[in-house]
Amino acid sequence: MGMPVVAGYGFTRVGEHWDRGLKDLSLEAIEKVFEGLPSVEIDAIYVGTALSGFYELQLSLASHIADLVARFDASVSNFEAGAASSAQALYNAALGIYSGMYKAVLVGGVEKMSDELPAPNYRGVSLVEDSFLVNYSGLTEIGLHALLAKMYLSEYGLDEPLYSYLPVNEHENASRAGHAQFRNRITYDMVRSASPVSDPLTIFDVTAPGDGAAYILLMDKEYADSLGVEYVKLLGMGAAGQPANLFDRASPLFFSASSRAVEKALEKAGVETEDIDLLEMYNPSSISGALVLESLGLADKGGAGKLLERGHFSLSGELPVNTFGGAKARGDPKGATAAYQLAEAAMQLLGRAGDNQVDGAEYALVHSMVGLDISAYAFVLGV
Amino acid sequence: MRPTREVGIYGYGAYIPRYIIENRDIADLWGRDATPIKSKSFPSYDEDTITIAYEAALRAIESSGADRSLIGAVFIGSESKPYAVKPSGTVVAEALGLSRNILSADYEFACKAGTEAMQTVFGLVSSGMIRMGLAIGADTAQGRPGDELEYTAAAGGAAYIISRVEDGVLARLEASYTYVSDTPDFWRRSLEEYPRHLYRFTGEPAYFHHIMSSVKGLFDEYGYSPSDFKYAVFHQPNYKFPTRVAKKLGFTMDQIKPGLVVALVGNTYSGSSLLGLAATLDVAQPGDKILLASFGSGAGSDSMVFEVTDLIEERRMKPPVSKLISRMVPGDYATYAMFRDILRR
Amino acid sequence: MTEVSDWRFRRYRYRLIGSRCRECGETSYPPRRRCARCGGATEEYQLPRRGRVVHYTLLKALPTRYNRYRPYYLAVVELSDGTRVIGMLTDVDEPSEGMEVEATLRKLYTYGEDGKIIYGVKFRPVL
Repeated sequence: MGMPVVAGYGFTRVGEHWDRGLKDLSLEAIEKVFEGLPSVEIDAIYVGTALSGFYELQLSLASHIADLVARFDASVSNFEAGAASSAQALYNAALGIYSGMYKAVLVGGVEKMSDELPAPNYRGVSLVEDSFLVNYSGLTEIGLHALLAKMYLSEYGLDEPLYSYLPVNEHENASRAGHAQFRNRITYDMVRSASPVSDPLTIFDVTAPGDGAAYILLMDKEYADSLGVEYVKLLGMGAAGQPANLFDRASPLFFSASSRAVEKALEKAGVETEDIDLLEMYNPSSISGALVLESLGLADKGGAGKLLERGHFSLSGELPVNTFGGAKARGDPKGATAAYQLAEAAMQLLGRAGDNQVDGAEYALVHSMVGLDISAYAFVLGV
Repeated sequence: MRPTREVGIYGYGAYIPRYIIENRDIADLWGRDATPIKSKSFPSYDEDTITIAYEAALRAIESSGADRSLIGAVFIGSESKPYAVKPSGTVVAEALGLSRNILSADYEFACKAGTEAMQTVFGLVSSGMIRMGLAIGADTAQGRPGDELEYTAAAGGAAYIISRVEDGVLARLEASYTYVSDTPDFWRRSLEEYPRHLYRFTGEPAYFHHIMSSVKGLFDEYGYSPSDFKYAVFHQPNYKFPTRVAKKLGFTMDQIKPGLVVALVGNTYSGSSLLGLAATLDVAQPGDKILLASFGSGAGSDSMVFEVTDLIEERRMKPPVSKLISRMVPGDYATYAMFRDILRR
Repeated sequence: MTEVSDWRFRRYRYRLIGSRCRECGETSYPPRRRCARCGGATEEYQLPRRGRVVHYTLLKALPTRYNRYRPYYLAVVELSDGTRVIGMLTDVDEPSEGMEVEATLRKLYTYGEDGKIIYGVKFRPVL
């Protein structure tokens, strides 16, 4: 049985790359993956994209990425699952390595969101939710998160949406990250007084569209050792799901898919929650971030906001979260987002995180989800 | 006209959109002084003749407790059909959960398409071809900005479930009468957005001549006189016309007042006289006779006589027309223009 | 062509037809084929039209199809049988929690000036 390791990573800055398309961004990221590496034979290319067919009218993207880098001997696979597109790609790429079939897989994602106007973007990113609700009930991803925030505040009797300290922390972390889309520092008051997008959420509570590409070189450990490359290990991974409809769930405020996926990943890795040195989670809104933390048992129910306010999850806190700004501040180029998360976790474990370094990080947890925890993925990385 | 087998109204329902615009606001915009009525209703951006017909029909079914499976026809009279080609009734029938074995068509006869739909259903029910039928008059009437019609062209509708008397009706049809002639006082050509009209020609030779001819014809043929009626409802394009025609025919203000909703609601075209009838049924008592006289440009008038039965109390529409009116809220001209798609994003 | 899938869904979008589990009675809207709670087979179920607003939000980030007019309220509505659904509110200036609403038929969106008009359920204050 193979043992997957992250032997390389590369990504573009997240932002509005007006003059570059899906392939341009992918090429930049992929060239960075291979920088400084000896010649590697690639068995497969797995690419995630949420909306390439929507924005740039390009489908079967993995075939075109293989064509782009002229790797015609590789098998190709496409993954489309919102911000978890590249998490799905990583999951399946790792299976290929575990199985012994593959020695090296180029895996990642790309998104080109600035090509679209706001309204199609709000619709596009919502299409991972039940399309009946999106088409006929006026549901959007942001609207769903806003309703969840209302439920959260009401269920736990909270007057202050302290979960809005999460974007404050994320912007702080991104302020020192060269590849981040939003590097401005913000305050809790700025978040609360910003324009509402869907009350109680403001523009600072939710992620913005961004362009970006991120790729990972996943290798079998033996092959990596033979080439003498530096790497971090993928110790475990897990996946789970739950009903898309909030009211078909046991509790709308408990992300059972995320919880179960992380549980499986930790078990597979043989690592305890307490051993985790940093968490790269996917939260397209402040409220969903609070719910991920609470669902993973990292905060009491209704208590994530207080911990965030105290700095518990900041870079110097007990458990640093979204150390380069997460989806909110590093940016959320949907199909690429999970690959950014994995690359950032690898940077921390390799001690290459610069000003954002979590000292002595040995284990990192990466979390990703489709929509509002319809499907979730978790990866445990270790040195 | 009298049906072979006796028919009547099993249930009724009405609907008026939530928004009104004051005539004063329209007059100020165009620099005019006189205003024909106080205010008129206008549809929200998500309403049209189909949704209004649905609301009215739903209220008729729910208030009367009619068995949906017995309804064999849905005819919608309107001059503001959302589609030029495609029936409105199929959407309404599907949304109401009616049988798929129903007759359905859109009727157009300017403002009298609603009573025309009723006449058709009377015949179908009386003949035994269907057990019950829905006749609906609904409109989101168009008035060209700046035109006289802009002050009155309103939105609303009413729906009537017609059944045989033996199935239990809240009002029995005693007789009806129709009078039509080729009198083009108002029209809208295909593909045109707004109707045109001939100003004062819409009065004497059109509205007054046709309503008076049909009511007088009805009286002559069946021996009625104004004193036989507790209430009368005339098509109400404005406040002046129905009050004047009532007076000319020998009716008093007390007889027409309960059904005279035009001052606040405006002219709901195909819904107009039917809405007036609904407001009258809201207050009518068993044994009361009601005269209904519609008018449609082009031109014609249907007159009908109903006698209210003991079933009226249990079948009255909930809530009544007065509640629909009291819930209305004023909107400014800009909101009106946006909701009516005069102002397009 | 989504005009065709709109047609397939017409019963559910017009009439609040959801599903109920034959085993445990759990209700859902939109309908589902297998119960989320117990995995049992479900049947179509006519949900009640009336309910009350539990939570609401004014959606300002408008998506395509729903961006032609004004921001709209998206709400969690608890129907009279206890089923919770998400839907748009209409004919309301400022909702309130607990506000009594009923399902009605409204225009949702159109496929352009010459295209189809798509109708569906929205909730408005009880008349």
